Amino acid sequence: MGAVTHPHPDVVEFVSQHFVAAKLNGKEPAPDFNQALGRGKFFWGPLYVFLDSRGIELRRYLGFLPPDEFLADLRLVLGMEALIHSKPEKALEWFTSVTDRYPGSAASPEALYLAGSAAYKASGSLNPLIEIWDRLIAEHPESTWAKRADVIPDDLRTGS
Amino acid sequence: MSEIAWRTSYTETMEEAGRSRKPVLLHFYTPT
Repeated sequence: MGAVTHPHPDVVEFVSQHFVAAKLNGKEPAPDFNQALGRGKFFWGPLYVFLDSRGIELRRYLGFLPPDEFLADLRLVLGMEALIHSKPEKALEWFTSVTDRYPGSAASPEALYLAGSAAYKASGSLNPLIEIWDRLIAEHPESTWAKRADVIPDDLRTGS
Repeated sequence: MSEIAWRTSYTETMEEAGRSRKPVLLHFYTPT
């Protein structure tokens, strides 16, 4: 799958535009291999780890994804980066782009969950979070992200 | 642009990330 996903023109363009990328060989590890792994272990490959420009970990997962799923996940990572850097409006743009461009992707429910978080941080109000999480629950009822979002007590809902 | 410009040094990757302010994608793999 890596042979399909990594050379895909859309993947090449997106990664080149938004990331600094490194490929690290676990069979012949470089001296800084363990530093790159952080507190994790390399027990199965491929392993993807995403960091911000200062080395703060944003996300890690195992296994290749097809191009569209990989691209959706990269947008999720960029949203997370914006969120931890206190740029919730920018984060919301990235998360929304996941659900707009890749609505059927595995990343889409998580993007909606995090969009709720970004919308709350951007507005200081629970209302947009509730609206987005209600959409998450309606559109992806079987997702674990919907279950995580199903925590809003009725008395916090406007008009109740 | 035909392929991702993969770096092979974590240290150099982080230096470039610091300069460019871009996040980092690390792909750990075992050659087959």
